[in-house]
Amino acid sequence: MSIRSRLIWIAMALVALLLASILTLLYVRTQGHESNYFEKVALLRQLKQLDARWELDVLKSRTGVETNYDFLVDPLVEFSQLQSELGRLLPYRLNGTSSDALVTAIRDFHRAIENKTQLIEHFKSHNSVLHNSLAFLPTAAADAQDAITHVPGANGALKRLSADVGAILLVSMEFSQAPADDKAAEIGAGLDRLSRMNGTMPVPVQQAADIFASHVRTVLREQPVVDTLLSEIAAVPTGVSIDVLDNDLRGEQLATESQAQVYRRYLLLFAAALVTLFLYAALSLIRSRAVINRINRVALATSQKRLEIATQGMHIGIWESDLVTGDVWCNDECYRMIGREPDATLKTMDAWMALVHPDDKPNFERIVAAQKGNSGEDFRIHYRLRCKDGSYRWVMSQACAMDRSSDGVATRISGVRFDITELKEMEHQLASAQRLESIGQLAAGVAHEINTPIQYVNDSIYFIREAVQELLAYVQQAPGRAGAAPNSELTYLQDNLPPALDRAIEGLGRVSEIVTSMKEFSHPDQREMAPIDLNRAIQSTLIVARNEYKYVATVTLELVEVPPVMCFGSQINQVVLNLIVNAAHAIADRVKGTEATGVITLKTYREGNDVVLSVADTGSGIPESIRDRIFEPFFTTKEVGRGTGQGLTMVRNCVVKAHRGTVHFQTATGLGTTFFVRLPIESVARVSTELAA
Amino acid sequence: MKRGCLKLLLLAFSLFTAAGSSAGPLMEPIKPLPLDSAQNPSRVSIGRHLFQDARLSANGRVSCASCHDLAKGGADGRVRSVGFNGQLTAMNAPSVLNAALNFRQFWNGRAASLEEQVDAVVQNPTEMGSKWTEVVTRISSDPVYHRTFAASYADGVTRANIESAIATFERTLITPNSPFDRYLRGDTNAISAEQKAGYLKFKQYGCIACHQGVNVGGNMFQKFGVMGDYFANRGKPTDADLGRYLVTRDETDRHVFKVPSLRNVALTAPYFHDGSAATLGEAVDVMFKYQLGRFASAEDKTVIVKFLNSLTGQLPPQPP
Repeated sequence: MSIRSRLIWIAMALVALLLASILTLLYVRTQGHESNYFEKVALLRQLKQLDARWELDVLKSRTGVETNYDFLVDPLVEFSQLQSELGRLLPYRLNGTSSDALVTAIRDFHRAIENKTQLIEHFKSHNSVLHNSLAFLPTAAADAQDAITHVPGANGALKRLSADVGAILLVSMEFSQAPADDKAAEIGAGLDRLSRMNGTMPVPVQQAADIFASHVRTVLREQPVVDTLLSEIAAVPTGVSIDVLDNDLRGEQLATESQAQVYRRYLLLFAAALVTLFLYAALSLIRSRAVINRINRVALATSQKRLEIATQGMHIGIWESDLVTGDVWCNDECYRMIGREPDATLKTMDAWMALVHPDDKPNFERIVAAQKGNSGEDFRIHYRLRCKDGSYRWVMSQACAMDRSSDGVATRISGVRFDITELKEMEHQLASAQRLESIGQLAAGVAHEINTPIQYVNDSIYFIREAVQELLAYVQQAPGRAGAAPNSELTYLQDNLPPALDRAIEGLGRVSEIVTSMKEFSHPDQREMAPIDLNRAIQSTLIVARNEYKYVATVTLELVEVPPVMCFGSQINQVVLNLIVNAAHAIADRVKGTEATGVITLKTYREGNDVVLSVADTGSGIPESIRDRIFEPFFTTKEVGRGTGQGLTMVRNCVVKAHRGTVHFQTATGLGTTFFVRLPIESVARVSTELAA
Repeated sequence: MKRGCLKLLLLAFSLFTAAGSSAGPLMEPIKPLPLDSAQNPSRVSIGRHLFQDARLSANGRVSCASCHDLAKGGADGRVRSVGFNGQLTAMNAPSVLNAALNFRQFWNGRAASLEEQVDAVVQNPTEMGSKWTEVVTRISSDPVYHRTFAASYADGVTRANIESAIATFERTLITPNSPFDRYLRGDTNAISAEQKAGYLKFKQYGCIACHQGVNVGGNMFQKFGVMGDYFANRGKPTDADLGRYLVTRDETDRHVFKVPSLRNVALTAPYFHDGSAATLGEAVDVMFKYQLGRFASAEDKTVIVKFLNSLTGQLPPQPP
């Protein structure tokens, strides 16, 4: 990985981390910190309720409904529990971003409770005293009045005293219901009157009056205190503090909630943005993938097309072989090369091996084995493959290793395969052409060398024939010979010598003729086209080929006068020779084992600007099945040694390629075959180096 | 407005009282003690040992139990107790029994909890005269304490845990099932006819105004000498006589004391903060004179004392 791409990865990871962090942050922010808000609110409600109950219990004590002060003590325990609970719920606010108002409210609340506790403590003390005195006051008054009535002969002052006590009692009771200054003054005045009589009353009355007076004073003292305490208790702003706390909490909760709302909105927006981003990224990915695919497809198609054109146009087979499994892949051209439809049926090495020519198999197997053995030997081999119709094509395979195992042994090879049949054919033709040329040169040389002795042998024979005739005539008329009985020996000589000499002369003529034909047939010196008399070419070829046909066929010549044809003489001679030999072979096949002979008919005639040469035989014709293939190189029906399968191929190549002529044939099974060679009279000069060479 | 509401409420409650005056006999201003007080047993056990452990005092002479003898009604029977170095304490030792049910601790209520009370006594220069660091060292050096504290408290022996253990133990010192409590629970034969009459007098004379609730007192402050000047008549004023004033420095709190619980009162003579009343009869006399400002007959006082005797409960069995 390059540094650049690594940096990109790191950057992308950082961005992803950042996005995730933002997401987490927003998520956390949207989660209410105030999850215990309701707990706190419930706690405040509880506090408020407790406070209200406390106040209610105070009133109960005040009115005497409740005389058990435990009720005013118990809330203290509950308060301290609830307050510590409040402290537990609120501490983070107190040291965090807590509003001062909240802190103040909590402190105020604590203070208010303390204050209220103190007031209630005082209230309890004063209230119990007040209650006792108030409750006792009527009894005390009655006790005093009783004492007065028990005084024998109570005077007017005592009776007034009794009335005063009653009046003070009444006003005191009124005062206890509604304390007012005027009533207090009235009670004070009454008490003063009572005290003025101190010392004038009998002891029991004095005692009772003192007790009464002290309790009235107690009421007078305690009642305002209790009332004041009650209003002070009611005025302690515990409820207010709780409300402030409550409001503050609610405000904070609302703020938090709205903040959370804001964050939720942010979260939503962020999430939407993220989704959009992801969608965009996904779309881009899909789009760029599509573009890449399209480009790839086009590029691949183009490349495939090029390869296809190249391989098809050049007839290049491409193949791959897995040496481990033996699987083979190859392109269509590999199939077409051997006349098959590309049906992908040849998938294994063995299937292909079965098509290799038996003679080439050992070499082929050796090469494949060499690849497996990692000998370093190139995979480059010429071999024959059997076509669908049974014929063989020469191919060349060249390959190299694609994959190698860890120890360097090729496990997979890939290669190309060319059809080199024509190349092989040319090689053969070249070889035979060279052979023919040297034979021609040799023949010309031999003919030349033979020509001179033949000349003087011929002259000598003619002289001998003349001399023999003169000698025989002389012997007949010679002395000693006249009248003599005819000598039988002499007669025999006279009869047979002249014809023998005549035959010698004739034979010499034949030799001379053959030598000349050979010289003409071989045209050893001809490198360029020259006007050739086709009829003469035919005649000299017939002489050369005589041995091929003389036992099976007679030759009929139907030659008409035709203009000379521009051509390579030796090649045309070869064409004619091949046709005559084929005709002779066809007839020989037909008449084999019989005494019969066939007829080879050679014709020449002119057609327009062409001269046509036809060679007809009376063989058995070409079977329908092979008519299309007779011109194919190396195609032959003859046994090994009799034909190479190149004769007609050479004929066609020579006529069509070198001379721009045509070759065709007519055949009828059982009747024979006629080949027509049509050559333009004014052939376009075309140097075919490979053939002319 | 507020005042109007208040009056309305008062009226409503007056009506309610009139209608509800025929409440059952058990609806009394005095409530029976709870029959059990569940506490952490291992802490109670530690507390019990500490309660009797003199190592809490500076010189190892006195323990809590020295002044709060459970066998003597949770007090020591002395007018004033003897501190670690032989000095007399400022006031009469109040009973530890049912102290957990008092709304505050000490005569002047200066401790809001039993823990605070322990703290004050341990450090009091007359009573135990200790420093907490020394106490903690002494206690934690005891392997038994070391082990039991570690088992009961996460942080082992500490000042707070010592206080907690003792207070926890004290919360078990409740004396339920007194005859009067049984009477309150519905056993009408649990107390005698005289005691019943005494209870009636107790209420009629207004003793009940301060001595009510579950602890028969112990839930409010009251001025000693509401209806007369007790201290002037007694003479020899002391600092301790100032009562709650020493705590609040509020003039109205002068001579104000916590109303003591009358539970087990028959066992805890002498009486009052100064231990001036040697018997219950004397104490009742003082109360009538200075608190109620009333005159009662000898018979009435006798039955009241008899009633007070019915308030003696049973301490849960203590392990040896």
